[in-house]
Amino acid sequence: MAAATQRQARSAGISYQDLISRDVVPPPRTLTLENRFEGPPTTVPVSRYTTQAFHDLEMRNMWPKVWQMACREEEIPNVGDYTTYEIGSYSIIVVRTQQGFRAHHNVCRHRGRRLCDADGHASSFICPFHGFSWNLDGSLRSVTSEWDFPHIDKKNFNLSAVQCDTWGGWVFINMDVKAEPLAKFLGDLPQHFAVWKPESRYIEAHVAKVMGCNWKVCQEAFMEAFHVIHTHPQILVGIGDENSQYDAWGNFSRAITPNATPSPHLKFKPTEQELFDSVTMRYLDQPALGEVPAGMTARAMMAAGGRMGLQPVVGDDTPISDACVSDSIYYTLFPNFHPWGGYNRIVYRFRPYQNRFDKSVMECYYLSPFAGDRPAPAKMHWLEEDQPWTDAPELGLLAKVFTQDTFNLPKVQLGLEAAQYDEVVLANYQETKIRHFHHLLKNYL
Amino acid sequence: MPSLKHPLTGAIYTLRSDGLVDVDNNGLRGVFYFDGRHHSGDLTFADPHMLLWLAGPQLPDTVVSRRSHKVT
Repeated sequence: MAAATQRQARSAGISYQDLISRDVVPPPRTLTLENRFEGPPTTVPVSRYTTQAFHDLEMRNMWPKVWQMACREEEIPNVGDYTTYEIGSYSIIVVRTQQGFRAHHNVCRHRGRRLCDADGHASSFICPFHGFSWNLDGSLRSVTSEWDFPHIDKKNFNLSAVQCDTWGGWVFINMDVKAEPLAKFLGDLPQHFAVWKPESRYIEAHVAKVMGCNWKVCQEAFMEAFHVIHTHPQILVGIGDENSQYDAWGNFSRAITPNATPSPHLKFKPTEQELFDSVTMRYLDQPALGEVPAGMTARAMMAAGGRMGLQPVVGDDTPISDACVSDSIYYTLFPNFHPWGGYNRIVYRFRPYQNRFDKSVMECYYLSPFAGDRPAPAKMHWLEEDQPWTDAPELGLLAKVFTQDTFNLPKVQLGLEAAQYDEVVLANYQETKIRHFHHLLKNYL
Repeated sequence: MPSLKHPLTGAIYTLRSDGLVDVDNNGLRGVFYFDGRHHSGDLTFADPHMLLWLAGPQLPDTVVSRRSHKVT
């Protein structure tokens, strides 16, 4: 009875579960799960996006107390390799040691200079100011003019500790040393990704861009398919935007938007060929990339093509379902980490830019499977606010999709800052992930 | 030149060689800039995101501009 009620409170189009029940190769069990989020809120205060005071509250009460993805393991492959993760005024060193990954506040314990100015390799961290040094594990190595510091307890003069743990090839940090372990924070998320083996991917591309909006304004544009109808109309024929399924569990949420199926918003019923042409971005003056055979669906043809390309890479022992190569399966781990499921390569991360409430950094990684030796990870490609996404051609067509999103986002920020109302109103179902995010955020405030 | 049919209105959007976009909405025609501004013609409104897709910042010619069904 409960399930029937849930189904009624959604679009009139085919449900995602009904759609995948007709697929040629069935999906993994986790894609058959449904867990609708019924909790509050359905409104969010505008001030969460538009005030330095709320930004400062997040900096004080959330960012120092929550697990965050800091880097990929492959970015610091050798003992002594380190990177820095910046969030607001905080800077964290993440380093690979003989004993595993460690993280420390990037602050000299003497007079406070940042220890590391850039990513690199070290056998110890030496402060460029007076030369105090620390071992990779954060323990004190040397004090310059040690005779002058009889008051230092050397056993308690380590770099300030930060929790550090890994999952799926990602390295996570938490500045709260008393916080729950990462595994508990993740909950069932690793089970959802087990079949896709994110630890066996490499960074094929990594692009970061300064965005002219609050970090939540930016991230929330990538947490629903509700905006496709007006922001990405060119793909509407072949995307089940309003058929998307939205779920939430613990600290993570998920949306699944089916592809090669028509949008319920359409006033006509596209043919299977039109669905295929839409998904393959066919202009009217271009030939089709393929002809959908009679009796076959565009979805089945897309899935068969995807399997053909991927099977040699992921191996024959991994069944590749239609859904895993066709659909947009986008998870969000609170607060700002967005790994996509299936064999889509996308991973997003959103952060405030420096310490500003009205600027953010949006990052897009392409994590790709590979056969043979692990390829070297791509270096981050930084785009300033005035640079178009198409300056990062390694993103392919997604750069043009982001251009459409970016056309909206600074104007959302401008509008919110001028709003004559107090609360943003969220859709009950299609904006589930945003509601779930703000539900969790409240716990930190 | 690249041309797309709007899936909701049926209007045809066609990129011109001068970077503007011709829009034909069931016989009513207009010309637009990539950012949605009207240039000329009786049709005075067009979908800015369709215009942006066709005439906004573009990828280099060396980048594959269509999603293949053989790779993800």
